[in-house]
Amino acid sequence: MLSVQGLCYCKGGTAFLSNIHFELMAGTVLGVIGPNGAGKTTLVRALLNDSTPTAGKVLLDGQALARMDAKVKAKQVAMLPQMSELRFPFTVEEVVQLGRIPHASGRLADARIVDEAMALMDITYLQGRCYTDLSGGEKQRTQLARVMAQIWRAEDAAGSRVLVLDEPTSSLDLGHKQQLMKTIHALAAQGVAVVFIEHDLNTVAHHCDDLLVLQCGHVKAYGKTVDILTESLINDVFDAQVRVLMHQNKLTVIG
Amino acid sequence: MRLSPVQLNRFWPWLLGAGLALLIFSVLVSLVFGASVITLKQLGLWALGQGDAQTQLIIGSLRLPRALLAAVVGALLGICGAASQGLFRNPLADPSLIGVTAGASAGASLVIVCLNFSYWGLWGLSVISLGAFAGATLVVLCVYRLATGAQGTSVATMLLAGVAFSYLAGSLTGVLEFVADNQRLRQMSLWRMGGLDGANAVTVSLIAAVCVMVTALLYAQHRALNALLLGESEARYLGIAVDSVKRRVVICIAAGVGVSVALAGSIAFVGLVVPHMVRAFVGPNHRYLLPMSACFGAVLLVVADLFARTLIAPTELPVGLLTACLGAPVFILLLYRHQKMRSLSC
Repeated sequence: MLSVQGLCYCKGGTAFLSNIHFELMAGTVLGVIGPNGAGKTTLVRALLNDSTPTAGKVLLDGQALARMDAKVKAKQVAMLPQMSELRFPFTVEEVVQLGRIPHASGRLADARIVDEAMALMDITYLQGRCYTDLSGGEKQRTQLARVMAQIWRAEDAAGSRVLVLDEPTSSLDLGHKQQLMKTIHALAAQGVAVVFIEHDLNTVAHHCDDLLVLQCGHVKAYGKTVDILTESLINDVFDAQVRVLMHQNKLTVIG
Repeated sequence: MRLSPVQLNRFWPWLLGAGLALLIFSVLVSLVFGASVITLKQLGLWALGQGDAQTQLIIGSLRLPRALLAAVVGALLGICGAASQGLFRNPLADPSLIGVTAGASAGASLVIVCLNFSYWGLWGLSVISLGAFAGATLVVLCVYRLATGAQGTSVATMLLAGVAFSYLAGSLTGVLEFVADNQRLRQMSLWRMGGLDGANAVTVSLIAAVCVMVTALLYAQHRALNALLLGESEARYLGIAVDSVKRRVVICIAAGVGVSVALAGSIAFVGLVVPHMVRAFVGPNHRYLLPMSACFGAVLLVVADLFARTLIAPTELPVGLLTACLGAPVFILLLYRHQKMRSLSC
């Protein structure tokens, strides 16, 4: 459903991305890994046409994403950037409500969705609190609930739904990280395709069906996680000495 | 004491009603007080069309147009301030940051110095006002063009360009001040202090029409402005056509502030302080913030003008001078609190 073909992004004579290809099926979780500056964030921004790619195309259900109507696209594709610029004292509930802006599903339906998304990210107890007073992890959970509320129901979207998360677990504690991964799997089970940038290789190994490994703007490896996540690849890409073991049927990376 | 979203949603019509009632009350008070006090009985008789000639003159041609002009200018400054703080994602951004006020001053000074017939006018508008409006529009257009590239409009560049063009317009004003004779110098500095004494039926209806349009256009953008607070990329991911929203909001701010500076001179700090105070009660949601800022901007300027007229009566203080004297300390206090909050949270 999401098909990326020959995506390139250059700026000021430097190629940040060159010739990226991948396919994402409904209900799969794709992990994007790579060292700092490999072009992971550039890739997801170019994917959503937030920075216009120099070459290549991104198709969603066979339709060019760049030419889709912004409102229609927003009902299908939600993205969580790495850092939030929000500096105004919205309450947590109001921030999550912003995720419903593209929809005209009515106040009652929206309120229910916002409540459900907040419950799932365990921020219901924070709902009246001021966003600017929250801790980093609480802010991240609030923003996660917002992007989830944006693509909450299949019936609001005209086609397949995609959730793009740029380092969503960077400030989360272990419990909330596991809760997030459970939610991602639940969304994938409903047919949402998830693209997810992550640094923790164990999280990637346990939860991503497919894996895209970037190095200096090139695809270093792409395929099923179990097939490509090897000691030699990690050594090569991250310049790190690790052991990859099979533990209780799950890949485990030991650093 | 911040109202919760649920409370706001439930009590919103009442809140807006209370704001409007306060505005009407402040206009009535400003009709009654002045160099000579009009009793409520005289006011009532005037309202029924049976007032004596003196009351008719004082209220009908002096105080009522003036109070209405104050209300509309205040409303425009308040709502444009709220919109520009949202657009720039900075609670301390003021419309004058993008050069509106400096451009208007330069335009007005140019007219005062270069044209002799400064009180000759079109439909009761002095040429000075037209010069001010032209100056404001020109500067905003330049700033906007400079900040807009292939990647869209950069808000940071726009702020810097606003500062740069403000200096440019300021230096033009300085040169004009240098070459002007004493009488014109006085006229220029009085104009810049801001005053509402030029009010008449034409100016009031003109600016009221602008106010209605600007308010309607900005209110239509309230969802987009809320999304913009998250950041421009985030707003784009939420399906907002960010560049056209920015263009519309900038045009509204230029028109709203430009017209009000043209008709009432530069009136400082209303656009900065009012949205701040309103935000403390209703939060940053533009659905509530925009109308309430308009309402309280109007109340604030009507009250400020009342004080400007009565403090050292029969002499009148320029209302812009009064708002600057009150507004600057409030601004400093806001900065101080902002800074303290930041050092606490970091």
